[in-house]
Amino acid sequence: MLSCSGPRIAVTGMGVVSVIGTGYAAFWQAALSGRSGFSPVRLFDTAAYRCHIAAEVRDFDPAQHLTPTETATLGRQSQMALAAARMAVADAGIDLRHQDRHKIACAAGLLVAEPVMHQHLVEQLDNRAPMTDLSPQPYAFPWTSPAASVVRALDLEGPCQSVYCACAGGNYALAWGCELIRQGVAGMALIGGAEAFNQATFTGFHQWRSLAPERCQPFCKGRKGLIVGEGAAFMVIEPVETALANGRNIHARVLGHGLSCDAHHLTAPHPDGEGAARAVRAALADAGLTPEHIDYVSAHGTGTEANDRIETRLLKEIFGSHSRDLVISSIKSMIGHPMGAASAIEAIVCCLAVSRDQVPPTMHLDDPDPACDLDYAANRAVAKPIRCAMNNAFGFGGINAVVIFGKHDSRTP
Amino acid sequence: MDTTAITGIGIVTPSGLDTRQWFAGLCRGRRLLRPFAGYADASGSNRSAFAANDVDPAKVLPSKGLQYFGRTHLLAAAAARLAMTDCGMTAETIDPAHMGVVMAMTFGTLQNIARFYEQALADGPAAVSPLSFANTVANSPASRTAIILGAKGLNATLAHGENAGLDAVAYSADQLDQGPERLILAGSGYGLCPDMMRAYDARGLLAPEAGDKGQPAFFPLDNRTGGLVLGEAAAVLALETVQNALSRNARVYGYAIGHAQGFNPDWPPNGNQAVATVAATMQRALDKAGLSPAQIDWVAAGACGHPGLDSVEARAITTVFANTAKIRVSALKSMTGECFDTAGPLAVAAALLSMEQGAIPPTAGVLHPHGDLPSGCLSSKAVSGPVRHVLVNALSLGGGCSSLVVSANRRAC
Repeated sequence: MLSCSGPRIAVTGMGVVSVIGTGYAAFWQAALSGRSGFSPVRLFDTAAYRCHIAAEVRDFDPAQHLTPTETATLGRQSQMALAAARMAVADAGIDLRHQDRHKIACAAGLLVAEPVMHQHLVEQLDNRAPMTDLSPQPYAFPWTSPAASVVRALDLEGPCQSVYCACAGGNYALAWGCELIRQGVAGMALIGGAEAFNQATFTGFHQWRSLAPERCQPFCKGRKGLIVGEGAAFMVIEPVETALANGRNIHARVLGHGLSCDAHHLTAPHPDGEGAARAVRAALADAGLTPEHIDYVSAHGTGTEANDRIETRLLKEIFGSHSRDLVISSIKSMIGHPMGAASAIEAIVCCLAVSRDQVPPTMHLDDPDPACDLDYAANRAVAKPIRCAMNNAFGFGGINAVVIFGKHDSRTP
Repeated sequence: MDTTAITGIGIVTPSGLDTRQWFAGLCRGRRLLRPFAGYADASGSNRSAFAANDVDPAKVLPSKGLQYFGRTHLLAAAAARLAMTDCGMTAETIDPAHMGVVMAMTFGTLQNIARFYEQALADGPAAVSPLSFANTVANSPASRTAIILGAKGLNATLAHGENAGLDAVAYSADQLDQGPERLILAGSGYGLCPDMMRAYDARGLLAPEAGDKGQPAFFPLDNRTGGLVLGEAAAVLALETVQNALSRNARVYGYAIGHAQGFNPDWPPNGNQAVATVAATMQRALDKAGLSPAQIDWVAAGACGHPGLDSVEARAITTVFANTAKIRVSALKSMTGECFDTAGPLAVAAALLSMEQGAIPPTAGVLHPHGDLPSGCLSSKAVSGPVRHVLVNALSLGGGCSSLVVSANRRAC
């Protein structure tokens, strides 16, 4: 498998825009403290809905990360992505002017396109925007997409992808970036995910009756669903040897990934978790690890009845007795479900877990579901050695992507 | 990508579901242009389009659940089903976990997005059908295809522009090299969307209708071209490793042996930098294929009829083939219209059939070849002769460009 060929992959830069903090340091501090990012929806009137809570990023100031032109021309999704990408590049200490721009890949995971495009469409459909008033690029979302916006702003010329793999998009994008580095197509990759809160996604999940009315409570008895969120996260990945040669700090190593599809139902997970389990096993095999090497699992943990139950069962199945030694947590209990940004933000959680030997809590776990009886770091952060962390992402459409991160030291297999 | 065998082709076009019938029509220069009833411009006239009104993709699909599919979903799934049948694999002969689906879907679900918003505007968001949101998500066609075919391997959707379809082929090839999949169905589908047509019309991108003999001024790579005509189609290719194809004695149409992708943010696309990017991308694809420009028998240009973008590609072709005595170029969109992500896989299908039948399709209607092209490279008639290597281009109005080398032979090195 590919873990035995090609360069080892290091994470050397990270950037996050989240409802509980911008910049990974602030984000991590807030996550460890259990800060919740849920609040009444501000973007639109929710009077017609049963649910009124979201996880909107309220303190993101694009002017702190973007030029005036970028702030004026980019949609929110791209703004957050570009901010996170710039933070990641700065964190890595890279001067892009001295890099081969054709060898830097960029990819972002997404659920839906830039909401500003949708807004233009709505205005046209609602006859509020005569054709002559259409913005210059009403359907221009490919070139206003987060990945394209990052590439344009940073003047990159390597491979660029927008990976629409729903909640698993960040992990899919990361898997792609690692492949390009392993094949020598790219010497470095800027990989992430982004999603801007929008009424369409909120409406969709609302109509599916998947929204929690107040809080997201993964693994809790009587949990009622997810909270729609937003955010962005990017990381710089490159060969370990390149990072070391350039004196860059290595947060973690990307050890392997596994991809699968349930092929069962468009909106519901396979009841046996069969596809997700295959992705977990494939990731372990790709990384050359056994289940016992995993110390922490960043769960997909959406807070829906089905996902959390199925995810717990597959962890027990695959990890056997070691499942009792795992620490598992769902960051969605604090940041909601930022859709295409979810697995990208959770990837950073895994990197911080292995580098700092800390695990953020699963908040609001007041009354654990008896069917979810593993250690979910209920309501408190955990400090313990984390050799390897696994990032689960089980997305809309039955798409599953699992990425494993490892500590960068001699203890990593 | 090392060398990937292409063992199946599935297409849905205005000419039907028969691949060779479609290619025969291409070689005759057949343009199935017709007024598109879905959109009338400001003058009240229906715009021309390459619409597949008379083609029912559902007839090759199991009927269960099809009532929930959008047009693009039907097209994409049908093409995938046809490709799988064509390659000779069935649900009984391949482990579903080893079968993947990769779709390019930049614009394909816009029709569904528009209908979703129309319903929300008319009846209020709380009255929107839960089913309608599902089809708006870009990865829903790939997921629905996987459900129909029982494909439980990776499931990815790329959506960063018109060149994403070609990248889907390359992405799939990379996954076959490294992952557990034995078969990946890669391609795209695009169902005509009235709102898309309206937006493109408003941006002045569509070819004027009062053209020669009442036809739109749609002449890719011809000096007379005035813009785009949109087209409806689906194309999916069955990809395998060479080893797998040999082991089951599969019929191999050809091989994907080199790919490159580039991005240039200059807009409008008529600057020298854009030319350099496209030319460099083409050259990198050739380099990866281990071929010189002189070994290419024809270039399946991505030319869409946009004067600026066509000029960029024409100049790039001239740059790459500057030292080649004779190069053939065909603008297939002269016969398919702009079908966005689908154009790339469709051109790959044409390339494969050109190898099989020893015929290079023409550029339909060409009268005044673009002045920036190599002299004599275009033909309004099909050209007979052996075809071994084809360079397929896909360009995006947003700055992305991709090139793929398709060969009758495995890569030599």
